[in-house]
Amino acid sequence: MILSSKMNHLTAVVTRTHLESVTEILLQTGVMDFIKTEEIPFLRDQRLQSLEISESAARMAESRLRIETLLRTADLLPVMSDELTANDTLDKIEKMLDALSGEQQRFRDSQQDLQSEINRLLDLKRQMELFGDEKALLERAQQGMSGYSFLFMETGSIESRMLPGLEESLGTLTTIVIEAVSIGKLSHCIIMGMKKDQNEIRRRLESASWQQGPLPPEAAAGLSSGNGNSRAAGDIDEKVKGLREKQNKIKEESRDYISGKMEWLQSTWNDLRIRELHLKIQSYFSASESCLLFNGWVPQEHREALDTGIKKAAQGHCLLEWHDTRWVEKTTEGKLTPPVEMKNPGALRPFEMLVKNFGTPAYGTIDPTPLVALSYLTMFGLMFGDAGHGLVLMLAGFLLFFRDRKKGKEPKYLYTLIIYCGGAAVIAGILFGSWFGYGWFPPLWFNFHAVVEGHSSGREAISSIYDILLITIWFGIIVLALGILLNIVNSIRKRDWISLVFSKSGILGGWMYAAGIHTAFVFAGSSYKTMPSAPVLLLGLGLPALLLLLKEPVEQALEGHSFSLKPSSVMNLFMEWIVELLEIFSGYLANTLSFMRVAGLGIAHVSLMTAFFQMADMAPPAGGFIILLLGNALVIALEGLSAGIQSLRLNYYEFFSKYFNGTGRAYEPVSLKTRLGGNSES
Amino acid sequence: MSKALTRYSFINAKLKTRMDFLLKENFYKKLEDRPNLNEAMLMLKPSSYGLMEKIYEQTGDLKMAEKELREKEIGFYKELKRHTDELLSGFLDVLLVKYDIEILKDWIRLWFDSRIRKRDISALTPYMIRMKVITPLDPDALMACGSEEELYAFISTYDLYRDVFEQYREQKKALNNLYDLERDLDRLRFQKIREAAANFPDKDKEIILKLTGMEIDFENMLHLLRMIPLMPLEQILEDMIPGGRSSAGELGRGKLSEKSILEKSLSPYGSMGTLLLRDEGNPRQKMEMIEAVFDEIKTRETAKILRRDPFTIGIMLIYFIRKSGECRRLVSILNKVQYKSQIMGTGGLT
Repeated sequence: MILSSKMNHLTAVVTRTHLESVTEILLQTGVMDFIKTEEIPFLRDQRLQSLEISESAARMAESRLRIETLLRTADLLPVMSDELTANDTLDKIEKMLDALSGEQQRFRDSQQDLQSEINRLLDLKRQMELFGDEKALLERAQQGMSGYSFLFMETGSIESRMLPGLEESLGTLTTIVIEAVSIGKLSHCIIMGMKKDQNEIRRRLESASWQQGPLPPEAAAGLSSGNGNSRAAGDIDEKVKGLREKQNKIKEESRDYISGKMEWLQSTWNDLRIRELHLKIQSYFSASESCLLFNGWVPQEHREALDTGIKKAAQGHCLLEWHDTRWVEKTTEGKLTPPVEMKNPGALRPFEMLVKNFGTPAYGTIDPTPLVALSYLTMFGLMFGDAGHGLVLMLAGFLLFFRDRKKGKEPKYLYTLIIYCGGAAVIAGILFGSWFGYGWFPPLWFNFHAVVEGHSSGREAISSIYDILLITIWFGIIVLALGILLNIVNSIRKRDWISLVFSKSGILGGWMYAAGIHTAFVFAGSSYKTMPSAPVLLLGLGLPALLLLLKEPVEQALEGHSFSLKPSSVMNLFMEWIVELLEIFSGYLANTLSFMRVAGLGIAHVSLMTAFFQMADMAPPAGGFIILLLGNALVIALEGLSAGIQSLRLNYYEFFSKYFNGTGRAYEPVSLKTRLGGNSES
Repeated sequence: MSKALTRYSFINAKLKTRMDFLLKENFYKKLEDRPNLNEAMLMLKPSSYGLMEKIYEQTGDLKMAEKELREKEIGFYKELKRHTDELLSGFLDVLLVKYDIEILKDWIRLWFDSRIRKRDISALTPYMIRMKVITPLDPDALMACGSEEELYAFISTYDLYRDVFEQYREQKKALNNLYDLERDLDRLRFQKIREAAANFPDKDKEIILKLTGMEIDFENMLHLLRMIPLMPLEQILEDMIPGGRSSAGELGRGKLSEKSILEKSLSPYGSMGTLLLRDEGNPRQKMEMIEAVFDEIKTRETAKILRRDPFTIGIMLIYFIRKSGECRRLVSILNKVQYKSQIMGTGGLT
């Protein structure tokens, strides 16, 4: 926390025969952030070549991606594991995947056959519906013409006992059999089907002793009494339903098929991933005829374990050279910078995400995560101070977290942040005595609602909106002062003496800011009539301003040059000085006043709730309840978002700008936890 | 707030965000490499095309998934209309004419196959789109038309198509291979866009005409290459769709040759066009080349527009160009994968 891990640089030479065992130990310890040998000036040597790797990383990645894809059939995801349980050759894996994939495709092809049948049936139904009423259907059937080039119709009779057999026989073709009427032992029917199947239909009709001929007059009565067409439509619907059920069954079979292969897919995926990681590590190796050379950064606390591990894996046939960051920086003339490992407890990870979103702190400087957590939540609480609303936010955060518990880290961090913000709002709500805008419990600090509405807050010191604004200004001053202090610490750690003394957030900047605050409070305290005494102004503002003039000469002196006293150089010095002074004064003024938005949003929160209360009072009871419900929902959504964004903005632009240098490179060791590219990138 | 700001701030922000979610080149490449359609569809599952996979998983039918995609694309235009003012909403209707025409073309092709070529069309009808885009087309009534004259009369009842089909009816034109009719419908589409452009402020108008002009030039170049073995150059020139970035008058000036027309047509596009002036290649290869070159030109021109004023119609038009390109490419890749797997026997229907 606060400071990132101390890094050590390792240059290792091992014998080629220990390639696999050394790779294995590097992966198992998973602490080395590798660097390509070519990037290190003192390691460049023409005799060194990149290590030739026999296995194809691309083929492995492709197979791994295919497994991920196939698992999607059953909505499954592979799980990372450290254990190697499968060890098939790439050829075997590829063959197996081809077989699995081919089987899946066959499932889909069977579904397509069924779909073609569904399509034909639905088209048949649509065509039938175009005939209109049953009478029209009968007339068309009697004429033996459908009126559509692809629809075939015929009327005739068959012995009633043969009808089920005929229906079964025609069932494999797209046909509909409508029994118009049954007289004696004969069933008089209309047969409809696709014209392209006409010959086949006729052949099957003949084998069922079908007698083509007109329908008897009773058939017309039977149909017009209500259901020739709808009977056929119902028949089609029934068939379509059956076919869709079959499709669903195949879908389930295909899912079950993949689920059944899960064990092999999971273990193979894991095996491929680990093999890819091996190759990834080996891609950083340079090789001579008999030796391998690699280098990278390792956090100091892991140095010993790795050192021992490599020596053991190489059976002592190795040469390990450790250097600290200062040595590397000096040797490479600052071209090689160590990576930054931010070490924050899990609970602070959502805030670490916010910091990383802005940038990674430069190596050796302060990791602002814990401070961001504190300032972010305080700001959010002041802007969104309602315990009821806070509880809703917390609940929403928990629900979202639970819903997406299987998703990656980032959504979880966001939901945790929402929960924290809810918690901050609850605390602030208790301090302000606000519960969904109601004062159900007395405030522990002061009544925010009462102040905004012009009543007594319960505290003498806070009687008007100006007092609330003043609180946030003080809060801003504390945040900015902390920023200046952190910049001073960072400058000392980096040995950047110029920045320490002369930067806007350095000693002189801070000095002027402190004097400026004093001056502003004295001036405001005297009802804008009196300024502090001349000696105070001279010492507080004049002296540091004058000292700032020395920035460039000192800078040049430290670089070994002497400052030129040419008129143009002196003129430039003055111009830069004036601009810098203006920037310091206007910048700090704007930065400080910017924190008034914290009060502004808090006041807006209360005002919105007051407005909804007034609207609810004017409406009948039921309407009033709905207004309050919707009003609360709107305030939670709108103000929650605004407060979240404004807190972030104040951290990024007012707090970070004082000390944070996001030019660092994040520490990314190759380990068993390393994520390899997936195929869902779109 | 200025009118442009009010008109475009929300919609352009929405579309700009959506533009970031368009499929990346790397994704297409991986998709193309899938051994069969099922794997390709599974790749789409977590993307914005997940619905296609859902349909495919249920039906195993690529064409059904394609139909869904097309309907969704049309639906998106309609959804956008809810966030636009009257002028933009009207313009979206004009852009939707493209889909209305595509659907009409599909039905006419189907009618042509059924009535003129006497083919069985039952396998095709389920994939036809029946949704109303602009014209409340009654496909069953269209399919019931017994002759070309009846067909023209029927389609003339729709305002949008009256002029085109009355002309066909009066001149008793035969459909032949449908090419002329399809081109006349495209002509109608471009004419509608150009007319609608006149209602916009100059900045928007310029962008609309520029992008449409590019599309017209592309269509004209394809027409030229397709027709050159079949009809004289003068006639081809007469048949060019007006509104391209190189004016039709210019094209006809000087000595007429395929090369000179191509040269003049491509002059507004700088050096890119010269790639098409080489004599090598058969017409099909040249057409492919034209497509590739115009794709590249489109990418460059749209990138230029995107760098300029964000409160113009440019972002909307570019989004549609890119989105429809994405849908087209996706469908083409999926069909290619299916075809490839059938040939190689790694899946698909045999």
